[in-house]
Amino acid sequence: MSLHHNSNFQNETLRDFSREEERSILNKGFTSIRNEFPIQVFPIISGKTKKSSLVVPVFNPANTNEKIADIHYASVADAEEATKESLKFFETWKSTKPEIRIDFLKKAADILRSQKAELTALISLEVGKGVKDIDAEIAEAIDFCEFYAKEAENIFQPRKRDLLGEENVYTYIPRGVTLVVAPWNFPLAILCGMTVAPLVAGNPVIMKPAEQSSAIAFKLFNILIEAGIPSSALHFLPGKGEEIGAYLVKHPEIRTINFTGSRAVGLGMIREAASQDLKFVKKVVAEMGGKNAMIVDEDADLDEAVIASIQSAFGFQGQKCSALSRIILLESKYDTFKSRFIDALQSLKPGLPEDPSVKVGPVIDSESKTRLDSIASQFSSKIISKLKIEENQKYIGHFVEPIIFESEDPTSPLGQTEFFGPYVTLFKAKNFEDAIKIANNVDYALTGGIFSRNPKNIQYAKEKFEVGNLYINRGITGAVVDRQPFGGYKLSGVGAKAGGPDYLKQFLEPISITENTMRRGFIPET
Amino acid sequence: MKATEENEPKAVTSSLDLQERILEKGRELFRLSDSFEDGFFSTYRLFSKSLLFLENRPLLKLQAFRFADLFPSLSSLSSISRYIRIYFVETPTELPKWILLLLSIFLSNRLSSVVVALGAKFGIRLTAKFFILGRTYGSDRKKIIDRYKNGICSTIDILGEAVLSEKEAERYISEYLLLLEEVSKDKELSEIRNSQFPGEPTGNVSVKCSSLYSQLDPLAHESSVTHLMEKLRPILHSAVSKNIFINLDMEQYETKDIIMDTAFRIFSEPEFENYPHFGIVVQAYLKASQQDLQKVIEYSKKRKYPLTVRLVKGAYWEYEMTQSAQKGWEPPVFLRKSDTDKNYEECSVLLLKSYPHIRPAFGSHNIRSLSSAFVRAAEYSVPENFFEVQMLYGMGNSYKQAIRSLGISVREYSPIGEVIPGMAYLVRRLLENSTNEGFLKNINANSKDRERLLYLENTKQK
Repeated sequence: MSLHHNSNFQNETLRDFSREEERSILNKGFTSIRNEFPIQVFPIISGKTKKSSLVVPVFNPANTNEKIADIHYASVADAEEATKESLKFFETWKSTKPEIRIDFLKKAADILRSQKAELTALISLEVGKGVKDIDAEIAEAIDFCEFYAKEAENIFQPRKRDLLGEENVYTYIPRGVTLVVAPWNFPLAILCGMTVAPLVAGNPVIMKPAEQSSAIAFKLFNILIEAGIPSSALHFLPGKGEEIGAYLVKHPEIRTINFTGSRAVGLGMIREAASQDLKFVKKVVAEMGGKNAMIVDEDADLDEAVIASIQSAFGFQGQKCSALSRIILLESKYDTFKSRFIDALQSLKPGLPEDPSVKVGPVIDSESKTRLDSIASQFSSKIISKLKIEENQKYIGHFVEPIIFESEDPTSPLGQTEFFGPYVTLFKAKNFEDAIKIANNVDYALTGGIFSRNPKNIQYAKEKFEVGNLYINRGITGAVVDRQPFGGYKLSGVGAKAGGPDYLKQFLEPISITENTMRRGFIPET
Repeated sequence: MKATEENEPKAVTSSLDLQERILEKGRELFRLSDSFEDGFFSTYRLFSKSLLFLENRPLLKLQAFRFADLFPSLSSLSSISRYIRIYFVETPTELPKWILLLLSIFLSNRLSSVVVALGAKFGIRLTAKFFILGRTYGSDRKKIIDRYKNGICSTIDILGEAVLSEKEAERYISEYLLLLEEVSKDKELSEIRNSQFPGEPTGNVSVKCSSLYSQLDPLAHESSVTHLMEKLRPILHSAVSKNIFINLDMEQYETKDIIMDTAFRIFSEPEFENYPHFGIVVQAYLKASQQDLQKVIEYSKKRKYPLTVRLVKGAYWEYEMTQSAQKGWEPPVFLRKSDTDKNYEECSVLLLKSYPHIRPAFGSHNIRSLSSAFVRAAEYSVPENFFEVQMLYGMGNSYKQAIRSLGISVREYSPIGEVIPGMAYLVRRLLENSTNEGFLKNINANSKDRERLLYLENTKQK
């Protein structure tokens, strides 16, 4: 059997928490990171720490009494300076040997590996994610470094097609200054992948982290600098998206925008980039939302389907772009699935995510909570189960009640709008084809899954299900770098899949060079 | 641990000698089992022969197991026949052409396809009945009593679907409590027991911990142990009041430490510390098994009455392999079957050495493994009534009789539960065991092959 594998890339191992030693290291991580609170996060441009007139505190979303960090917001002037500095350094960074840039990534992976416990604690406390999700996220960040390093090794080997008297080389040059605008929901992994890919390709990067997760972003920035990335190649600009983000998107010296976030913002960037009258085409790589579906066939193994649906819908409170928000069931399975699914939801424990027995944590902030609560009351008649959360808990943190809705109408907002929270709706389908039709009838094409033991239906789904990542007989979240390159199409995004073979090339321009080497009938020996 | 505390072998024997005696014991067991073969359990023989049809037909075997796994979710006869077509006609297998032809003809018409579906349904229910004792203790206690009459004790296990919620867990807890109630009230059982098995407790129940608590999680070790203890307490309380043996079963590697810690803690509670009828399981396919066994032995030494340890090889091998591959871990299990077999024997010795602090229960259908345990028991002077053999209900019946005739107790692991949901569980077992080249070959092997089966790979002579 030949397994096709063009690199010797190996995914980072997850931690085995059944080992007591692993659990105790983790606990120490929480203690040690708390000693650093509140973390002071500053804008850093070419290694220089910037003063700020606006300092915004960040609190633990599960316990708003706990202050995590003070974020010193960057100004428009800082953004301008970062762009100038980036531009100044571009030629140097571009001509730095790829091997050197590659080594920085490998070093960064090592440092990340050595700080797993503290990083886990910080992610848990700043964004309210559960430990196992965080473990997968840190592994993903490490994988991005290692994978893009390996990919760069391949890409920067010039492709030669020489003939007698003619040399042909196909090679890549970096595009130019890259703006990275990252989300808070994978505060380490997504930001890391989005940053190291353009960097290793030879582009200076301006990091604009999400307001809600700037402390983790700051840790990552420092790790990258510690790994050897020149401070003139990487600048850190925490701040308001509407202000510095918008300014930089419009900036004529930004060549590439690497964005992950909401559909509205992403499409806005694409419009903005297209409307600018520049001497180049500004490229926007955008990873946006999803309204992801799971189809449960009449022959599905419900033990597996229910548990996978619980994890996919409610893991990290549904705040993943890959999260499950529609479950489309064949009629014969509907009632049994529904009652087991409801009971399974009711068995989850809400609370502080740092408590390892907790399965339901807070949502990111009060804005998100208000928005989700209003959706819940708008569709209150469709609610078939919700997990009760104690009033005092809601008072201490941004907790919303995870909800299962039921709807007959897949075209209603319950079937169409991305909620980005722990809400999932059950729909009925007449047959498998109908289920696929319902699943496809949304603006998005990100993740999707089926539970079926019918080889014909599995084949049908492989051909017809409009998603970037299709999962069969398993949960629909938790993509792994290289094994499951992640990303969608339709209004879910534009650009290559993260952790996949095309990703790096987005930050490069391919160049073909042909040289006629014959002079007056004389061909130099090669 | 002081050396003097250990159970010393009565005579120093060379290892060649030992191997010879194990071989001899194995031959004896095979001979004895042949003499029981055609009596009491002949239908099983027929069934195992028919299972052999799947040997050397890997595609067919795969489809057959997949079909049986799927079967519980097929709700109508028409869906059964539809899936027979998809699984066996439209998917290539090694089915002989004439069977395929017949099958297609039958499936082509509505009426005859119903016949095929009914046949399949009947066949699968029949298969399930070979391995699953019955629906409930109350409905099928006759079978258990028959087994007792034939000299074979039971440990009863409740089968079912995975427990996904606390509501489902509550249902299992009440099923366990009901089972304890029913067993303790069974007069007929107690009469036979008193006459034939004087030392035996009122009943014997194997508890699957994952069915008592839906949120078992190795990351949340402490809270998992605490919750599991809470769930177990009423069950143990009831068992103690009724003098019923409780064994805590083992499942996946990741919950092993939770179950072990739970056992250690709850068995030490004042109500339970002096109860003689508790047991746990050690899985010899785990690399950590000897280390764990040492812990169990040390723990048991502190008890007034010894714990029983059911030594098995383990039934989740493929699951553990895929889990560890996906997470990038070293597999927790031995990669080669022969290493597991060897480790099983080493664990057996550890158990026997600890006499009288642990009561060994050798759970295996492998004659070599059992012979080795018997020979070593004699070597360490462990009396035959101090240890026992455990085998699955429905498997290896002639061996059970053979072992009985040596004066060693045999206990059957007897699952009860609904046939249909239980079927899914059973298929998982069959799937797991089908790669364990062992049992089917063992029982159906001719005498020459049997001799070969009696060697551990690394003791095989050239």
